[in-house]
Amino acid sequence: MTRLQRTRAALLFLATVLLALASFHNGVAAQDEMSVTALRVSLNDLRNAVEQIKSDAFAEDATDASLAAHRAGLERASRDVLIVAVDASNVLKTANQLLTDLGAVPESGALPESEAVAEERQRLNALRAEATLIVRDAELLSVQVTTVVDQITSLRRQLFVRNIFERTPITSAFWDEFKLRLGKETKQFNRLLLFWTRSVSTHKLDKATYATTISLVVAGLILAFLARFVAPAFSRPAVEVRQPYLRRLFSALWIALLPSAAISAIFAAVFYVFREFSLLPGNMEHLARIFLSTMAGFAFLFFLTRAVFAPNRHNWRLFDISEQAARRLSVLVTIMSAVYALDYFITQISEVLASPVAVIVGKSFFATLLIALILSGIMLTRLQNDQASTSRLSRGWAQWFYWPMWCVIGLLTLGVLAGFVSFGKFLSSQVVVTGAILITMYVGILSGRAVGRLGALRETRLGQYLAGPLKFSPLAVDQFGMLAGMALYVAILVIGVPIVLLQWGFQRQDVQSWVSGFFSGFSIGDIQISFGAIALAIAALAIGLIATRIIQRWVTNHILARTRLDSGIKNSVSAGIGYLGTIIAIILALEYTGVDLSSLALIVGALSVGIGFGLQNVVNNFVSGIILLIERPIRVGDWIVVGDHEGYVKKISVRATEVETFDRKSVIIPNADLINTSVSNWMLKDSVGRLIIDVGVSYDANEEQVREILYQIVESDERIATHPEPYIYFKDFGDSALIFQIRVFLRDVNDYIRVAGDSRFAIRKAFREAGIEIPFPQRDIHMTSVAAQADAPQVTANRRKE
Amino acid sequence: MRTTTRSKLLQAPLIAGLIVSFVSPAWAVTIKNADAETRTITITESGERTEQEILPDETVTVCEEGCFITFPNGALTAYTGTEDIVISNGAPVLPF
Repeated sequence: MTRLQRTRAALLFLATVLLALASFHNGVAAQDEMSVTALRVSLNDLRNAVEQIKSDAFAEDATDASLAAHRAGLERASRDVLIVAVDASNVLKTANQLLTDLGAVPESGALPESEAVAEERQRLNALRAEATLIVRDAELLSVQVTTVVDQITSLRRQLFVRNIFERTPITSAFWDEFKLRLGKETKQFNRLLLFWTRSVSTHKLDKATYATTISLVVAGLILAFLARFVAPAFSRPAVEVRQPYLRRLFSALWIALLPSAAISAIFAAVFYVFREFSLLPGNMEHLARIFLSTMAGFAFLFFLTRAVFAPNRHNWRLFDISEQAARRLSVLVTIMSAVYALDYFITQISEVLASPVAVIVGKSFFATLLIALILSGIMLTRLQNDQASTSRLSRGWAQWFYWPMWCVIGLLTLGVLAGFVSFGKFLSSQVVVTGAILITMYVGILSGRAVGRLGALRETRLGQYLAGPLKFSPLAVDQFGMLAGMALYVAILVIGVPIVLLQWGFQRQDVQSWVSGFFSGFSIGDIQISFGAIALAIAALAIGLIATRIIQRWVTNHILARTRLDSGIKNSVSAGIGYLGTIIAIILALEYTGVDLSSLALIVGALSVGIGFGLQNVVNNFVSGIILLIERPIRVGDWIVVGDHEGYVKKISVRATEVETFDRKSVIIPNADLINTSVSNWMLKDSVGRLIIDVGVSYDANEEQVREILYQIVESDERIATHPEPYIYFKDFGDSALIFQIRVFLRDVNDYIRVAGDSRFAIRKAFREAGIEIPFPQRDIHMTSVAAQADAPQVTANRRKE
Repeated sequence: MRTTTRSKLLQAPLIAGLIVSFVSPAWAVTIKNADAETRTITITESGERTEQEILPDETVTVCEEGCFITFPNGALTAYTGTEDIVISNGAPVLPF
């Protein structure tokens, strides 16, 4: 390709790119106009919605529930308005950017710009104006929405006070009206029921049969499940001994919650089935809902009473009260619940039938007085049998409730008699329902505390199950208990508090917006704190770690187990997966909190100072550990020598490595030592090791025969490698013996001691059979005596004389 | 060995929780004044207007849940609450 051709090709490419960019730009421009129009439309929609809510909210017949719903609607609208405004701002930004790109308008004297550019400039200016207007309108609307929200809040406060303190004078005229209206209402209700039964039995008999059958089957299934799997674990058999505290608590908690949950489920199923078969026309649907929910509520109160007071089961009772007191209390509380439920049900029916106030007030008048009476009976119950002490509720911690309770009873009675029936009703409902919920929560919190106590869980069936089939250590069981206790606290607060708030007249929407506020957090100064986000992050981390552990185990057991990799590599891979998973889990958790990872720089900075001073060693060892895993100079199972320590590598962890010496002593060697000092590893490349045995034989022996015997011995041993070949080395003419050396390589150096020992046994045996002697150290001693030397010439001399 | 891994499992979330509670999440708009004079901005958050002065070279953190901000040059812009803005010559510059 010539240079000219190349240049042309490059130009062509450039032109294509420019063309593509230009067409993209046009597309964006068209899109901008469309999106601005769309934004204007959605903003207008939002404004209309807000107007609608405003007019609805300030209408005459607004109730607390409808106001709460409106408020939630406004909060949603406020968020949407902001989204629209942000979109418009983005359009604005793009338009500004493009205008800057076009450059300034040429001055009057200068060359006028081309028509296309002028047109584009005009278009962008229009776009900018419109987008600005949208943002401005959105801001105004958001201010307006807040004003309406504030108004609604104050309106609800007024409404609440008005409703509670509404007074109906209880006069004879009132009672006359009550009697008259009650008769009418009863007739109306009967007519409704009669009409319903007649229409069902004549026109929808088959449907009704189906629905009843399905309901019965569902109820049967739920009850069977409960009886088969749940009840045996939590039933309270008549036992001779007082049950452990934790067991009593748990059985109370379950007896309070499980049966009522099952009943609620059955009722919900029945309701759904009958509605689906369109057996509940018009008001009947509402009536059925009221009836079933009231029954479910009563069931809860009933079982809670039995759970707490445990009549006829004194060994299961939570409090130390007499059998008599338990029976009396449970009967009284059950009657009170029944009265409350009945009153609630009738009031709801009256509302459905649009009954006059007189009927509702009149009935609640009786119900509330009755509840006050029963409450007095409860307060007067003698808790213990012994006659001497007046151990009523006025003793001990209960006295904090005793006098306030009498005040409530007095207030209830006087209030109702004075005509403040709504107020009395409100109070009695607080006592019955809020009391029940608080008692349940209290039992739950006691259970949480008891579970968390050291060693408590070990004695329960769950603890025994964990320790038995699941092989938890006692400490792990305790830790599990602590976690379970904490989880129980959280669950109780998360479920209980909203229910209590609902009971106090807050609406569902309020609670929802608090919950979402809780999750989106609040700020102290510049610091944004959100429990929800932290909880989510912790959950994400826990799930991440558990998932890592599962993946790690799976890879180890299913993939690595089927490879021929040695255990060291398997270990490294598994450890690597562990670290990777942990890091991912931590990053995931941080992401959940919305943490700006750049602000982690602060922490890293702080840490680096710490590393400089104190953590140097730890980090050094940590990094060394990672190098050990990557470079693998030593592996698990290797026979190594580090400094004075010799033994097998048992475990390589992040900071240190565990070496087990031959006398079963574990030596923890910091990883840095393994990297920085010289390490002897018998088994780095292979497990071959050399064995040298010295053998000394007598000078009388035939050295060729000796060599033959030694060769036979080493060659007959399977553990000695044939390549490199064994070698018998004639080492030295020693002082007392001929020194031979057996130099062999062992297939597995771990056999060192055994082969050396066995070989010596064999050598000794073979030499004995062949008559070859292994000599003791020998010395030829030449004795010279001084006296003998002195005598010797004399003797010779004497001989000469003779 | 079983015990140590379990207690590690317990420790990890606690430590992470601690770290998380120290590193505050950055759900906010940060505004840095790059001009040599004090600038005043108007913030409309949750329907309430407040004015804020920013000294030269000061960085402030405002509005966690999205807001409208009016800048000294009259520009009005909406933010979701995650942006970092620099004021230059009285006008917002959003580093992309």
